[in-house]
Amino acid sequence: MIPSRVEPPGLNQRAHLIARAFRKSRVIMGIRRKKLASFALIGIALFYLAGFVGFLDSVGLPILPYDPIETKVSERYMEPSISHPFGTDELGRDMMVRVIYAMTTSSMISALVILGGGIFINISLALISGYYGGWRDSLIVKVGETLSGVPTLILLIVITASVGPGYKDFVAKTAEVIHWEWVARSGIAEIFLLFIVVSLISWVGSVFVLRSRISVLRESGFVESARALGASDARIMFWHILPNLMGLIALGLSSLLAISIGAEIGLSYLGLGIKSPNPSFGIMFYSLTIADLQNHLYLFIPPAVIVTSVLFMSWMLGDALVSIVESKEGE
Amino acid sequence: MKIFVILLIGLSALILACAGGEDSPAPDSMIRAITGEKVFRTNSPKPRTLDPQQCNDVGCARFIDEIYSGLLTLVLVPKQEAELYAKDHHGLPMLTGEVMEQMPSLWQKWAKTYLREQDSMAIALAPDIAKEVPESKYNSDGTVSYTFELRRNVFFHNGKHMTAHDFKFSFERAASGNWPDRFSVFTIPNADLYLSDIVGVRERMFNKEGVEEVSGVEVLGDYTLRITIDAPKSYFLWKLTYPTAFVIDKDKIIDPITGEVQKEDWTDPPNGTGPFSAVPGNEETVLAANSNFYLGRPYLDKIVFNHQGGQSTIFAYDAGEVDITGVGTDYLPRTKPEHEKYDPEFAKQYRSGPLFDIWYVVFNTEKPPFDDPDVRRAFAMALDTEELNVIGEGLFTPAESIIPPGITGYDQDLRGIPFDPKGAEELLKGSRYWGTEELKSVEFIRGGSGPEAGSFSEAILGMWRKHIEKPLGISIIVDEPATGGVYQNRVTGGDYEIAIAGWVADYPDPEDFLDLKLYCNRITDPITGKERCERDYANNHARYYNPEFDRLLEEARIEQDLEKRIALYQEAQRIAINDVPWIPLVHSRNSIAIKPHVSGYYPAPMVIPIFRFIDIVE
Repeated sequence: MIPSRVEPPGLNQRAHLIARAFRKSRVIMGIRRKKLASFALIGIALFYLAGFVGFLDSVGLPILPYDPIETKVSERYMEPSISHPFGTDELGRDMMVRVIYAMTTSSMISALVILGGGIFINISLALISGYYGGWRDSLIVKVGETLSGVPTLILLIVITASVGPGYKDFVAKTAEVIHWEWVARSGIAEIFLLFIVVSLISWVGSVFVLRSRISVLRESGFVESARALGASDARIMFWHILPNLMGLIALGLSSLLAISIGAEIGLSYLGLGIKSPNPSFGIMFYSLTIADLQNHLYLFIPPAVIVTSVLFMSWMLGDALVSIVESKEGE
Repeated sequence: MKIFVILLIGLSALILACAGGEDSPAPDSMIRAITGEKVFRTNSPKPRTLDPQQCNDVGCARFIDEIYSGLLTLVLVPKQEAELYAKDHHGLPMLTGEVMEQMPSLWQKWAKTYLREQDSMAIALAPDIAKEVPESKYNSDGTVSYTFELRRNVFFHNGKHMTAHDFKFSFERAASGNWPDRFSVFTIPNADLYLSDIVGVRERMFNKEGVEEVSGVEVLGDYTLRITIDAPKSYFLWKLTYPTAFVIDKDKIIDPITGEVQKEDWTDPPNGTGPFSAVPGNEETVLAANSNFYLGRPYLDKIVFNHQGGQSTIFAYDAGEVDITGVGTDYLPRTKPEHEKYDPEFAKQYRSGPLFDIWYVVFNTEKPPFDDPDVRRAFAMALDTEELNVIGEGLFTPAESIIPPGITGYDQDLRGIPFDPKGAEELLKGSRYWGTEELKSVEFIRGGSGPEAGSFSEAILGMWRKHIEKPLGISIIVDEPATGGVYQNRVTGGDYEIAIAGWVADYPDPEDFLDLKLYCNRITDPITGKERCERDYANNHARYYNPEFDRLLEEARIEQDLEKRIALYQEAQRIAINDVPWIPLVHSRNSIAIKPHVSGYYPAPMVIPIFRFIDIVE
């Protein structure tokens, strides 16, 4: 048969094709059709936007009207108003700014986990395990099963508690030597540790899903044909198999989002993650007492609503993705 | 009583706090109705140690004061009756052995009249195992001797008779310093702080060859003990009320048959002579009445200290699971009639009173940039202690001086470093460290657990951020809150630049604050050849050294005239305030609620034995 093109697709066209495959993929189409899912996507985008605003403010751009650490006791426990939309806390710090900074922390960690580790680790482990099979598959599956056999939070606690002190010492000493005190000060080092720890153990679920799909695809007709035509393993993996996984990858990433945000908050709450005065939702919830709940409920509502809705929205997105991927809808 | 505790939300008054465990005990009233036992229940963290010679914080002293006893003790007496008991002893009241024997019932009588009022009690020195507080005997060589006649009916909890020999052994063990082949594993030189006035204690502590005993403690008979101190020091008798001077059982330390030495494990269970014997545990420590107690069996049958409390005892208190709770700022509205949360029943159970303590920021004065007094002063000028007072909602008094109100020598005319951010900026810019690496970033450490050390240090940080960090570009790097042991080791070892700490009086004398906390007397270490403070840095965590300050303290130690002595301490205090090794922040207050069936509880301004006088009534 005569090909539709005059020459085989070139390198730059391939990237273009993958992008088109993603854009036209039933995942995106499906999300567009599902109102809740689009709502969730927009909510998560807003969360990241707020986090980005906080990040810009923290590096010195004067965007936000207050400082998250500076105290002003004369304005303590002010109820929500126009100048302080979320009120002020016990020390007169503006809660809105503190919440935005906490969103910065959460979004930085989750973005790092997803972009810096998640995609790379998930896809490469799944491809190795699913495509090659054999001992590589057994090794990855066994390690994954071991990790998932231990409760995640306990594993996180064990790792951060055992590595944390030595790591902080190392960072503090290095920062002193190379005069990068801001690293120790800004909490970036802590965020990085959390990123590593969360990345290390959060891959299991989505790698397993991807791997089983790959091992099915590996045996399918179009892969056989490609192999018969002499295509290399790399070509088959990235050109033939990967485009078929977009839905599952997006699903994995959305659950990674919830895991990483939740892990950061949980660990910070337990004192193993971000440390005060760097703002984090975990610390915020830790420092609110039951009496605060009774007397100053407004301190609690905005962070609680934001955290719950972000977690809820990321699961909602995941849920929509599952139904899209597993159904024939959009094909 | 002395402390170096982590600052928990600044509410040191809440030390008793912590909430109900998972399987909460049945309400007190029910247990009493069934068993007829008088049980006092409270939540309290597990004590660090039950060895009186190793204890140096409020957490363990609270237990040790009830389990062990010493020659002398501290007792509260109503201020209105104090003059009856005041002899010529600093003008402070002193009780006789006879009064001590009537004490439990006398105390209950006072309880009905005075205990409900705030600040109605004064601290008195009283004989405990000694029959009377002895007179000073001035010897021709300048030393002073005290001869103690001991009570004959003193028994350890295991039934062993206590004699003067046990005291001699106890003092010698306390002074055994860091000698591993001796009896102790001490790294806390309590003996140096509390017993070193006794002739021979320092010789033994510092490992002088052949010094096997403390020559200043002599057994003159089974029930007669003579203690000789190196100079006439009017504060010395107070020091005998501190746990380091309590009597311990020699047989528990050195096995009488095998000769084996127990260094740490001997306190499970402890064997003391106090009003209560103890069964320590991880979940709870139970103190049971000692029916052989020489001043009469205490009224209470049992005190149960639950170590598994959570964050707020107040719920356990409301549920009747504990008999006492700290009341923090969160719950103060329940005691205020003008507030909507006012609870008249609770308000009746609420007690508050002064605490003889000081909370302060401490600088490591040996580390740049804080070896420059101008830098320290600038940091002090950037702190507004009034703001801390606002956060304390009346549970704090802003501190102007080191010696708290209520302690002899409190200087009410003294004013601390004033709040002046402009002045701070000028001082920092004029400092020799301005523009150097040392002043670009400084390190601030705090004690505590969890992600946040508490609003108190957050507030300090917030003020410094406003007045120092932002306008001047000096970063204040906050180290994570370190838990008790780590924090204390760092502060004691000088591995810090700025820290927060507190100190509660051991006895109501200015010597306890200025001399114990800031005296240095720099010497050359005979072994390492380096310069250090005479007592090392065990307690002078600021590593503060000012020869003039030291000279005044040395003079004050042996000054016999009370007024002159106070003047010397006040002058020394002015020097210390001016040099800013510390920034005094606040003095705190006791703030507790106690169940109405507990009779005779008074929130003492420092740790003193109190459960021996308390009763439970219906």
